Amino acid sequence: MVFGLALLIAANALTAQAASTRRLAARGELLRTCEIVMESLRGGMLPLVSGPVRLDRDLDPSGDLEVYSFVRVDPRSTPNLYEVNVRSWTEIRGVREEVSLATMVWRP
Amino acid sequence: MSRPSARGFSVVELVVALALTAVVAAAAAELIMEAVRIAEAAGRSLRSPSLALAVVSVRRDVEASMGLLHPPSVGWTQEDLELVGWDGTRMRLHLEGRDLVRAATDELGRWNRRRVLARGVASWWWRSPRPGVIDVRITALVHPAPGIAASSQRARRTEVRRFAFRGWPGGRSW
Repeated sequence: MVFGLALLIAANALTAQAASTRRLAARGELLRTCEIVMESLRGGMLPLVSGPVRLDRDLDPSGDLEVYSFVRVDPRSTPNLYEVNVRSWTEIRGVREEVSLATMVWRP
Repeated sequence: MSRPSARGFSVVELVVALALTAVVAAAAAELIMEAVRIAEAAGRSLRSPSLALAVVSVRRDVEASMGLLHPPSVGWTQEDLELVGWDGTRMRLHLEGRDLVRAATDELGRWNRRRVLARGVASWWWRSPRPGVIDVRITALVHPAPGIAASSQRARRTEVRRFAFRGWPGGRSW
């Protein structure tokens, strides 16, 4: 009885610790994915249009994570100036983790 | 009326209890293994701050450059990465043994600035998939945790990054 209770408590603690560590690691990978997508947009590797994007496999830093990214491009009132928002997300044990980056891109 | 507790446990009850205990213990062992694996991965990041700093330095150099000094090879290469800054200075990133080294020229064009960006670098690759864009892949040996050999695959960390030159001709990168 005591052994079973101890196992249950330990299992809960370990699960929570593993999940939080995994979430932290995932956020790092998501940030890296956002940065790579943003640099791809800046460098012209990806078109400056809104929509989902997928990185090349050899650039995908996410390892075993299934990462999805979406780019939103909004033209500003100044000609050739765009506000770009990149969102990357994944799911860790059913909980969605998301990171986004926003910047302005000048594309004359 | 007999008391159940006076009879003890039957073999079936014991077997069921043991089976349940085994299942819970197996699940706990699995959790412990996963926790250790994740903690090791987190530890690798913490034990290798120089790799993260090296990536930041490379990013800064690329952003401060107007382009490559020489036309790049096709595909991934381990050659020196030479950049030309806006002020005419040149920067070179290359491996010296297991050190990733950044060398730069001064205003007179002399290579007299040298700095080690990261130590324990196992491999250094870069490519230019299109003009104005650089992909970098750096693998470093991480200072091993106690009990883990430095040569172990688990003691390596790889950073893959893409950088765009700012203000590449045509001004498209800003």
